[in-house]
Amino acid sequence: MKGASFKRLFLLFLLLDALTMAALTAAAFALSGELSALIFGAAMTACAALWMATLTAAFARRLEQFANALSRTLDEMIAGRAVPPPADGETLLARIQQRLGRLDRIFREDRRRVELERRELQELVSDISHQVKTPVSNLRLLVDTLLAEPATDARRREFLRGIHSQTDKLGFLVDALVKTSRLETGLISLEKRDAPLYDTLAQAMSSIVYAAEGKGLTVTVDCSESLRLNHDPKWTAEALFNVLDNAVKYTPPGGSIAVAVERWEMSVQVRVSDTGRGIPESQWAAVFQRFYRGEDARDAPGVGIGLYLAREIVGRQGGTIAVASEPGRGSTFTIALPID
Amino acid sequence: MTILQTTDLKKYYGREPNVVKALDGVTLSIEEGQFVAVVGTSGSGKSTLLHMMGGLDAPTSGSVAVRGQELAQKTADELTIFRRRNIGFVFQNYNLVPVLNVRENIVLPVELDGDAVDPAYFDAVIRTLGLAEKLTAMPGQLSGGQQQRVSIARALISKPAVILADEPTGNLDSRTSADVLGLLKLSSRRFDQTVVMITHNESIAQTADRIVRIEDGRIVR
Repeated sequence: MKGASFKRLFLLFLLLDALTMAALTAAAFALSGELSALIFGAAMTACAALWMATLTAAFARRLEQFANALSRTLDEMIAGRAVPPPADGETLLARIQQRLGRLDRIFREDRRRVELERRELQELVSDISHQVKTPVSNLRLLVDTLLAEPATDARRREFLRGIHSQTDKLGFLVDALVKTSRLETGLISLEKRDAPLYDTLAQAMSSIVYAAEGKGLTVTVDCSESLRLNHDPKWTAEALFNVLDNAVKYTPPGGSIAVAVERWEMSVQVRVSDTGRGIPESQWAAVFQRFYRGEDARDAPGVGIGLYLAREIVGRQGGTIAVASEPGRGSTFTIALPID
Repeated sequence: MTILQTTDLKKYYGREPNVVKALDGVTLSIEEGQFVAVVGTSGSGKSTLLHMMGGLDAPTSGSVAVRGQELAQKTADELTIFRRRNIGFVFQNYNLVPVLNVRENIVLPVELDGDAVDPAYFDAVIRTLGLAEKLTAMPGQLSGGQQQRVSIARALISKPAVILADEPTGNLDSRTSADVLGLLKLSSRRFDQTVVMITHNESIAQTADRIVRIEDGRIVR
């Protein structure tokens, strides 16, 4: 359709060209009265028409080649094959193909991501069942023993305490897993809004204050009450809580935890420093993995999901979380949230 | 999807018996959208690796493919155009053009390609990097951190296959480093941009989605 109108356009120009030339020749003949003017004029008109026709044909062929090349690329894309790499020329075709290639990669990437998400979900489910199995089988064992044998009061109390601690663990685990899976499956989207970071921090602190007091830890906070930041207060508090909770767990009685908030040019930095056992440098990146437990953390409570959750929450807000530590002296977790 | 692939990459200097093996058989796949840190001490071969990935240096043997295209099979001219369209660089010393202002520096690679910059994308990039108020400033008037933010914007603007960052925070104090790094990470995430960053600093590497360690020209672990 477009090609046809294109051809018609060329024909129109050809006609106009011939008419103009004929008119000019007639004028030249009328003015000079020479027959040679008429002959030259006719020859020029014919030549012009010929070249014009040649140009039209050449142009049409190039256009067809161009369209064919594009169609081939599109056919490859439709067939699900890789788009052939464009020639590194500066031609129009190379530039368009460059973009088509990119579009194709985006489509493929989307498909791959869906596949990846499904696999991640499967992994999450198997992780969950694995993590839940242990406390459940412990519970079953405890309950079965209680049911099977007559026991003294003291012994029964001991078993009940065991059951209590296992249910606690299970409850905590389920809580954390529900949060994680909601985040991961995109059921929850973070909602950033302008709010005072101090309030968010206070909310996180309130959940660890008793545990810290119970261990005799000194907790200090240095944060300006007027500092406002575009963030998701609820989930950021959750992330901060997990980092703080981690600090409380791994800091021995009598130690201290210090929280310092500072506004930098492009980010707000929240630093949580403790005087705990510390983390060897080789494990710095590993502590943020799901269900990671340090070799020497086996005796401490927890399931290794808090820091992972914190990293997810911070990452989804465009921030970063990192740790620096001196084993034996303590760790500092730094959460950086962007200002924008 | 693999966007950058090196296969048994080797770079030897000198000849027997005094061969220095800067890279000794590096096979590495970088997936689209990943933020990868290559960590190693100085002399481990990480800079050599980055230069090979960007087609700035030719390997002794082995191959580098970006978006499935072998760099070694290209002529010098083709490689120049290919690099401009597919690879963004962020260097330690920023490499901004001193006589161009911030906006001109950022759009330079796209305009060299005879293209127009997508205004919406340009706005998103400069807003993310906090450069909106600095567009008419000259590089000399900016702090180191700001200059590096400009060079990140310049690398992002042509939507390359991969951004190669060579110790991007090497010349910055630790505080500015953290800021710039956070922004690099944020940009990678927000614009789905593949980034390969080399660093000797373990604490900087933590920000990455994936950490590749290199020692004596080989990938360890």
